[in-house]
Amino acid sequence: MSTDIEQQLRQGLAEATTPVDLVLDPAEVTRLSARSYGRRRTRRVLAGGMASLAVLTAGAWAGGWLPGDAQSALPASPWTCPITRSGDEMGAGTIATDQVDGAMLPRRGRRHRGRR
Amino acid sequence: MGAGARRQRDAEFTAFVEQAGPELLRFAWFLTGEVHAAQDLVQGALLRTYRAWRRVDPPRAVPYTRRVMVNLSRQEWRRGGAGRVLLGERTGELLAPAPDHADAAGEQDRLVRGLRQLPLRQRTVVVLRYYCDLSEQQCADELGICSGAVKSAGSPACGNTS
Repeated sequence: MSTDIEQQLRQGLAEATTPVDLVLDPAEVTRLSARSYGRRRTRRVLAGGMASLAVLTAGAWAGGWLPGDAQSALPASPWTCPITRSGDEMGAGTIATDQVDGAMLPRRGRRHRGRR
Repeated sequence: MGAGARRQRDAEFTAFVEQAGPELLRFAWFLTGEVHAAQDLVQGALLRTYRAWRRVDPPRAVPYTRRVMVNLSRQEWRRGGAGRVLLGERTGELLAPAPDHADAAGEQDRLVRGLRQLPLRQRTVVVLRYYCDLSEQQCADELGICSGAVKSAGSPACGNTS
């Protein structure tokens, strides 16, 4: 019985009338597909180029290798600024407490103020 | 890709569409139940096939496109295209114009109408099994499900359609 139903179904689907306007123009399909593919490819190439440029720029900024104009427009990366501390200078390694106003410095051995 | 290679690829693809187009359109028509939706579905699937043309093995191009169509129709169904079937039935677009004299045509229309009332999964299974003449295993491979699921989707579908 199941075989009969399956057979009927198979035959019915094979013989069902196709609507007359159910057609595609192969050349048009190829043209549209090629155009869409080309557009997509262009977009991907552009996006890839922009991403590479962004990475290169970030690298150049981090390394401090930006050309003059770009360097003046962007803040310098902190690790490329020269450090001018020297051990021979007077006062190096000490804190000028007269200039530190209201700062709280941790005391040794006391985690909390309330605990003794 | 050079212009010559592109031209060759386009020629190959056009030949493929010429050859497989009618079958794919009919498959899409059974799946969607609408002429325009079927054309859109085939166009969308062929677009993806064109993109993957270098990777697709020529004998596998039709199953590949069919699989893309199934996936696309599933996406469309999820996006809320489920109401389309009813809409199409109301506007009368679903059915091909039936000849006046044919009882057989009436029977076919009844069959096609029954098919369109099935859930998408069952409809896909029925079309793959009985229109594309795939075995349960091939059908399962194409849908990415197990053959038991094909069987369980196909059996009630057969009853509802006939």
